[in-house]
Amino acid sequence: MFSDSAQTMQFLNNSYAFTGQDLVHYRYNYITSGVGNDLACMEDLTTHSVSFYSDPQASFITAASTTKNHHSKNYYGVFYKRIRALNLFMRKVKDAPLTEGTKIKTAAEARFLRAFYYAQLVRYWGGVKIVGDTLYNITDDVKVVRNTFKECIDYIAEECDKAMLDLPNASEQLPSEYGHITKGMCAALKARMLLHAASPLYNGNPIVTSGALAPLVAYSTTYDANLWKKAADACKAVMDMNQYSLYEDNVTRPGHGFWKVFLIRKNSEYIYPYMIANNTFFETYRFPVSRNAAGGYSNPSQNLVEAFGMANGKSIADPASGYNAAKPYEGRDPRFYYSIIYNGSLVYSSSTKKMEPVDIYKTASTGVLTYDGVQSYRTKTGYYARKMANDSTGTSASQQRVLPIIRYAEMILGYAEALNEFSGPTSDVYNHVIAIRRRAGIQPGLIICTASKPV
Amino acid sequence: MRNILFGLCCLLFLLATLPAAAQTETIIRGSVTDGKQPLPGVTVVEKGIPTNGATTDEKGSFTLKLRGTSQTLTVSFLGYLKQEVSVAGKSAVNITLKEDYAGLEEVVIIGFGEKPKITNTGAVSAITGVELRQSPSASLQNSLAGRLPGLFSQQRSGQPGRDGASFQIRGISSYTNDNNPLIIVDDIEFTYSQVAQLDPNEVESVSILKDASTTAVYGIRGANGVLVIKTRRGKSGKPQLTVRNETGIQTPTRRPDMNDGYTTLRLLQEYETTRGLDPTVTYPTYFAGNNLEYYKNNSDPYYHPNVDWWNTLMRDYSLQERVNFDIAGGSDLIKYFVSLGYITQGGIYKDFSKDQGYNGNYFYNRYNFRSNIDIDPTKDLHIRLDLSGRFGVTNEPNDKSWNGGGTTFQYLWNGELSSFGYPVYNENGTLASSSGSGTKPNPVANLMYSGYQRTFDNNFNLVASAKQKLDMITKGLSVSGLVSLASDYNFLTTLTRSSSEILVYFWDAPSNSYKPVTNNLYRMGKLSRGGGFRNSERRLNIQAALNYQRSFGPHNVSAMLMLNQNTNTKNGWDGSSSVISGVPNNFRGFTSRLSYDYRQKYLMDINLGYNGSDRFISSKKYGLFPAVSAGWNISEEKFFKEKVLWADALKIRASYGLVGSDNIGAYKYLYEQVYNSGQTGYNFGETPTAVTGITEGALGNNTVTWEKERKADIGIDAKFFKGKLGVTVDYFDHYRYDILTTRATISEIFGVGLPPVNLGRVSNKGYELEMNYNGAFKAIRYFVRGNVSYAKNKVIYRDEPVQKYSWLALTGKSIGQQFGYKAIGFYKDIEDIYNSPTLTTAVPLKNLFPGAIKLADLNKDGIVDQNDMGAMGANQPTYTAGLSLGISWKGIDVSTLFQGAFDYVINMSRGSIAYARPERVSVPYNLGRWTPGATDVVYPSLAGGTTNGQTSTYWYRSGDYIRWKNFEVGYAIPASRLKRFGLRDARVYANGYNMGLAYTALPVFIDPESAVSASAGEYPQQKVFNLGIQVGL
Repeated sequence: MFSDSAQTMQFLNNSYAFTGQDLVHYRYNYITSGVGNDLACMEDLTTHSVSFYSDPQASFITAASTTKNHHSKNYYGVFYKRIRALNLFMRKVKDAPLTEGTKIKTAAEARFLRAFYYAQLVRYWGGVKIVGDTLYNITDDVKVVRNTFKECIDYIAEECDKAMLDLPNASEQLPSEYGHITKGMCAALKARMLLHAASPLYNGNPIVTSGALAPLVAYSTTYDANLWKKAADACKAVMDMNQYSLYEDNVTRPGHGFWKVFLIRKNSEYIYPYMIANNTFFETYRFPVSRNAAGGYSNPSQNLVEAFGMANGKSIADPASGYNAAKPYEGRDPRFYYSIIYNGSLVYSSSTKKMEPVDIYKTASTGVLTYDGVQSYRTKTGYYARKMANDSTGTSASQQRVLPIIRYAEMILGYAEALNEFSGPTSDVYNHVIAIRRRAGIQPGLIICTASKPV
Repeated sequence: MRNILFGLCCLLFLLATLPAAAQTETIIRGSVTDGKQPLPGVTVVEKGIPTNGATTDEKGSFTLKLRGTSQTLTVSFLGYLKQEVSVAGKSAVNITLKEDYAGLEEVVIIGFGEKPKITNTGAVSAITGVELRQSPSASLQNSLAGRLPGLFSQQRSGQPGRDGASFQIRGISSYTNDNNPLIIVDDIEFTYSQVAQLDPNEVESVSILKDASTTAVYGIRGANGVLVIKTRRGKSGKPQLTVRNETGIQTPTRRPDMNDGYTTLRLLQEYETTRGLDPTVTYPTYFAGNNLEYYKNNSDPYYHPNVDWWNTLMRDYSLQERVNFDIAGGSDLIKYFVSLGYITQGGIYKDFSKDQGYNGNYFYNRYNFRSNIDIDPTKDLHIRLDLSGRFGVTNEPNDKSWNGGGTTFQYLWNGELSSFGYPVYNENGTLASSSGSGTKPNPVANLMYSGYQRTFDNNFNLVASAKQKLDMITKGLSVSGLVSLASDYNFLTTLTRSSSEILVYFWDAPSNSYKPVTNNLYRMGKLSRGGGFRNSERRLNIQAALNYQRSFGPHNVSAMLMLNQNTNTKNGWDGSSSVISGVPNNFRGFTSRLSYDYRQKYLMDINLGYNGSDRFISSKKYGLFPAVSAGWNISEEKFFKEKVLWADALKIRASYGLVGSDNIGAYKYLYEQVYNSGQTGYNFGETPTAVTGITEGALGNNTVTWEKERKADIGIDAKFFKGKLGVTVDYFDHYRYDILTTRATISEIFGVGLPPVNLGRVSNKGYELEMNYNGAFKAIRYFVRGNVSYAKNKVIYRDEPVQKYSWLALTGKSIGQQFGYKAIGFYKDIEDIYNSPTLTTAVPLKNLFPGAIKLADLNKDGIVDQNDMGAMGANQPTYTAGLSLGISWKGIDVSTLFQGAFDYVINMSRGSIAYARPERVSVPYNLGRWTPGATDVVYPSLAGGTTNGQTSTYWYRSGDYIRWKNFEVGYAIPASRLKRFGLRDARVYANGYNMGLAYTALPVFIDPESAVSASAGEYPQQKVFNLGIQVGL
């Protein structure tokens, strides 16, 4: 197997495939769910949206999910399978018939991917067993002693640092190499995990800092402000690479950059893309049935709709925001219009070949629902989703897109947050939040930064 | 076909009747008695000239012209000791035969040979072909149930051509292996389906080898026991022609009993009302206005129909016909047995497709032929040449894929064809059906138009062997060789019509008209042909052996050393489009046996198998399987002979040894590390470029080896009261170990699929008791034969993770253990629901109502969940028993067989229609439902809800049954009346198979041997009643 260069590379490809588990809505093609597969999104487990399917959320809510059987139960085993595969790759690639450069580079890719799968495991289960470079054999006595959360985060960070040494910058990649691991990805994953570690959930939180399990679910059992410094530095390191920038376009229309960035395969903002072929997945599984789609497999909830502020940057709860409950869809944050299909939204219709309003209502006189009205297999909430989807072509054209595992905006926000926590609301903090709002097409508005703990 | 077979027979007939040259003539007259009365039917043969013989008549007398020089007659008769009588200088003799009380003449089949029963030390049970032929079942193994102690069988289906029972010897010992015994028919290995195709007319005897001493010679293939079938062979003498013809009818053993539409609708009404719904609103078609009255009075059959689907679809009976022709005989040089057989079985459905130009019903046709030839060119050389073949055609309706659903049987068993959904035919004469997906489509339309699938099985076997005596080297030595080739080739032809192209209409009330179910379909679509190769198998077996048998005074010694090589090449079909080419599977080994006895008193056998299979890596290929056994014929001791006059024979025997099972599944080499290509890949590049992935398959296990079983057996064989009572008792203790098991206690952090490793251990213990009594009262002869077998297995170790509660564990319980909730009655009322632990998903008065099945909270934690699913019983009986009785008087004989199985559970939900739903039907058992205040409640409240649908002991009931398995009544027409027609013998008879259930623990109509799964779509078990005539020339 590893004496063939093409097969060796194919072995590595398989380990890339499972990195998009948070994002791909057909995730059951990669890892089956323990309680009914779905074509929805992870948001369906929150109050932000409702799935076409009753599971996984129904079993989650009704407590039919058990420790033995729940929607992400199979993730554990699959992630450890990938870790083993990457260990095997790193061991075997040394003797594979590849150039020295390729060997070093692909081994570093494998090292990063291994760290990535640990990051996934840590997010689901807290501290997990670090198997290191071990390749278990059937005669081995496999002992499972969980490593602490801190050990795991530090391991991931160190591994990212190690992998980075042998990897190119995004700008140094050939067009055909796009999607392979870069220095930026390593730095960004490290930043993300350090931000997690610094956050109140893992940093001195009394809920998780008592008892024997504490080290497994807390980075520090007492509050450690320096963790914010480490996180801020890690985010800054990504920013200082000068490889990425926010994709901004407020000329075409306000916040157009936010709409467009998801529809360009390679853009300035994606640090770590999950690579897929051109497709109409979002248009097919999110859009109303009248748009030649399969129906709303995941529908935004009223909670999510209300979470969007106004174009002036104020929350709708703010009396000064100008929000009018009688006309709830007027004057909102431009991102609202790029994310939610509400009654009357314009979406491309393949029959008239132009943008047409979507009808989600019941005719009062006859009591007859419109075709896209509130009913099973259409929408359960009265809304459809269109974030990341192309509402100007719908299902009629295959859309170029890859999915953002980590994008630059996360680094900027992370930096702003961590810096604010460590050194308070400096102008540096404000400028980065403003930059994000500007890209979204929002007026800067009033931003109040508060720390999670008193500084 | 028949012409060719007839020609072949004529040829052999001529060959066999070539007269031997006549010599000097001495005529001997004589009579044979047993000391009291004359014995008819005794064979008297001139010694040295086996073809020159006679049979005594009703008065026990015979006449024989001597042609040779031995001046000796050999007189033999079944059940009597063989005698040689000198007739030198005599012209008349009176011969008195002695009864063989001790069974000295009996032989038993053992691995690669046979042995006098008296010196046998192994555990073997056997039946003769004569008994077998009393069962008119088309599948040979179905005739074995209840007759062979140690044999456990379950017949799951009655489908023509697919009704062969599965069976195990001494129960089951492995939870991963299929537990199928090795089946050997005249030195050729057969599969279950092939043994079902054997013609009982060809069979001399069926034996099962149960212990280590008899199976060790089969080495790594003997652990599951061995079934050995011996076919009939020619005997010296005049050609004997036998013709048999049987005509029978088949009907289901249990006919489902369904409620009529009105009764079911009343239950549906109750169901809706209990749930707080208004049935006139939820089901206006049935309950609004006076609609229900139409159903009650059956006054509007087209728009308020009441269809009894079982009776609409099924014939009252279907036909079965069997014809057999055989001829046997031979001379000193050549002996032959030639048999031809034909059987046809009709299907259960009415012939709906008759006018369509094809037969879409179930049916089965089979032709069998066998020619067993023995040639003795010299007195030291014996050559055997056997040719046999089986050609079967199995037909099935193509009623499978309507609306992507199940077969008609699945719909019937699941109760998905309601009697009130639609009529069979509409008022305008077109076929009716339903438009919705909830109600299943019209099966009549399906059986009429959807075509058929026809499987052709072609089996051809050849055995050639030669045995040369080597007395010139040392007395008693011989060498033999054998080559056998078995070829099996199956293919399928289909003629099918897509279900969406069958024209059926539904009544569309809004438009007041009939509309086609498939939109815009106004004529029937066309039939299309399909099919092709299915699978083939070729087995080549080569044996070479040295045999030695000699007596030195009181010391009797025999020995065998055999080299055995088996190559099996299987080509399969992957189920959709392509052929799986099989790599030949090789098996090779040495087998040896050493037997010694002292005056037939002290017996000793050593059996050794040293063999291997290429399924394992070279260093692990071969294994040694030894077995020792010993016996003591107490009845041969002097003191016993003198003192214990009421016992004729008493033997104690014991055996202990090791056998294996190399059955690790087809196309498998578990020691190899595999990588899987074409796995999930990725999409790199600014221009999307898809790439595939490769993954590491389950780790190879280079220590993988066969399963092993230590078998210990202690047995007693005894005969009492001048041979009238025979008793055989066996106790066994089998210990299976190294069962290939995928470890379950390894954490998932292992990161790759685990290979099965040899670690499982199962203990299987039990006993068999067999008794038979043959008695006579004046001219009446009678017999009683009974047997009981018990086999109980227990999983000792299977690397199971530690379970939270002991009742959840597989370890310590039997293989096939079923797990479920414990049903403890029904919820009395709403308070009872609130005050009792129940399922976390249960919401009182939403999905749980009074009268639902109440489930026990085994761990007392206040909720009913997976932790409360305990053991309900195993799905394999631990007891099986048979009792046969027979009586004969002059030419009349009557015999019957009862068979039972006990101590197992079966899911009865299929027989009791678990839920009342609009498309469903109901059965009388549902009427015993829970209602407030009802007494004699046997069934939960219909609306009961979520607990009713759980696997629980309410649904899993004891499957215990006693079946009237067989009977036969016959009359042999006296020879004196047949003479003028030139007939040797003639017999008319009636017999039956699966006559009925004398006892069943199940309260519902399913057969207790049925498949467990409700979705199996099982063909009902059939009872066969048969009339036959047999004529001999």
